[in-house]
Amino acid sequence: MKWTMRAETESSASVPQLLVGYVSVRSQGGKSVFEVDARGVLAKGTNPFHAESEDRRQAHRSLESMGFRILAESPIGVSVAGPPGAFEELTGGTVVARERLLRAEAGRTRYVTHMDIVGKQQPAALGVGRIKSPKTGIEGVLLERPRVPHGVFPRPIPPAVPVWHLRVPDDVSLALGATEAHQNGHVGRDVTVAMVDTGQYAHPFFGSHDYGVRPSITLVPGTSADKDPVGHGTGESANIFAVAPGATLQPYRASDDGGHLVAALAGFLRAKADHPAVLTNSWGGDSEYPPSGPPDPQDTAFALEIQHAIEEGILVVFSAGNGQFSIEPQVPGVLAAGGVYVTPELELQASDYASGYQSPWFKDVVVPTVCGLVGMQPRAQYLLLPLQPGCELDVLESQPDDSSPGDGTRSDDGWALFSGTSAAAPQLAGVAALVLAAKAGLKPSQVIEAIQNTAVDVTAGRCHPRFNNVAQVGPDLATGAGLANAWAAVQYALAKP
Amino acid sequence: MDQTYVEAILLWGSTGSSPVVFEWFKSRGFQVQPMRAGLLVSGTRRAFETVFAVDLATATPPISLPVPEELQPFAVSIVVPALRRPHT
Repeated sequence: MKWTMRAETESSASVPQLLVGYVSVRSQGGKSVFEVDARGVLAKGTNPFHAESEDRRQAHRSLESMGFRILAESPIGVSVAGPPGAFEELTGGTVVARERLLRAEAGRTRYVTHMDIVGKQQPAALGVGRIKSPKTGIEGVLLERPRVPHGVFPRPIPPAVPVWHLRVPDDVSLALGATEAHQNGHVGRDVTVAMVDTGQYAHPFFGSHDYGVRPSITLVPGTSADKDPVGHGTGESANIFAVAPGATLQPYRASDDGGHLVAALAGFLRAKADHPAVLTNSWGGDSEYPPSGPPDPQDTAFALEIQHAIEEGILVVFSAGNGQFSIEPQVPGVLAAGGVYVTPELELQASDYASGYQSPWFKDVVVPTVCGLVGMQPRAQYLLLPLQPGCELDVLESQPDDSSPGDGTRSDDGWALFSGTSAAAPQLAGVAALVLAAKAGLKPSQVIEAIQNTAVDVTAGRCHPRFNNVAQVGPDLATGAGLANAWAAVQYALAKP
Repeated sequence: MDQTYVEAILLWGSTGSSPVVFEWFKSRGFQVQPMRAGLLVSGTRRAFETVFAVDLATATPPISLPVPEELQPFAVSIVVPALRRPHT
């Protein structure tokens, strides 16, 4: 049996308090614009559908008496705005919400909420209403339908790419168990996620999905809040919304005009002072491994700041590193984000691109705590992410090298294939946002417990060869607790007293 | 080091924090953020090179800067740490 989604279905959405519609004023030709076939009439001109002056005046009086506001008009009809009750008075029907399956923003096929007028003698056509009384001078009404902008650059829709990869938001959401969370109403609403990175470009991908992105706060004087010369911050932030589409992102640009993260520490301190619920960081240093002594004093000073953020109730995420060994993900209480790769056969294995080790400095700390989605060596070109057209990563990832022909995108199209534990960190930040929205007031340790205790165990593969740890049954040094499962983490948090 | 903007970590000595240090850096055009263990000092590379009489262009972080005499009662070190990099 072939399963298909219904073209239209009931909706649980509420009817807005203000609706916009279009009324057709009585046509001179005697036929309503809503009752004719456009194929037959358009060639003959619009004159038969123009209204007489007296009918237009009568229509105005009727509309205003029912509480409509006139927005615009033409010889044929009038655009109006009014509460649902006004449309119900005009038609004698009831305004209800319906879901219609459409190609919506960014090429996604999904149900889109429409308003309809239902009741005895109301037409079957979605959004169209028959008028109760001809004395109004009106012959029909249409509730405006949601529209999707076209012709945007860069495209909000990722290009086709001839290699195995995951797309945002849907593939990342599905692989991390977030889709089911969304279907159960958990989207991370009203949780602020701060991200210190190279910048945030206003890519149409974010607007087309209606994601909440605040203006970037810049740390380096003279740099632009609208630019991301590397593309790293912009692209990786898409991972947050794949998991928590209702969260609000506050970006902190810590890069200079060359894209170097010259103000990362300042960015962290500034973000901490603004007290977000989650503070995610996809960067770090690198030190000798194994270390010959304790962390150097400057790293210790920064570690204290990270610990202070956690004490203040901020859930701090750091990427584990892509072969790097550094202090940040090792600070006790940090959610250290490692890497798991989902194969084309949908099997899980440790990413050999991601760091994994027992901390030699902090007792009982394993990096990673838990994993997000990361590609494999040599280039981890795995997630198709939006970024500033022509930025460093747009160019770099499109170029071939000894190991690969490039990511299959153009160097200036605003899309590139990359990942790293830089992607895992914002994915886990999104999971944390879902948990915090579902159960407000949890401490960072409680959120991490929910994510760790519900992660999917990964038992195949090895982490980055620098550490060369094996994924095995149970928690391990390659993948920590395993691959995060957002819906399971939310359910765990809700079930806990 | 080719970056034009620099961060440095100043660590307090045994006397702890002092507003004298804040003012010393701010009066020379640096941005200063307090840390638990010291100060984060940020500014242009040129400002650091001028104030500390060092050539940072040819140095690789971590770079220890000389602690000015006026600050020696308060600070044990001023270091430009290694640059953090994105994990792509």
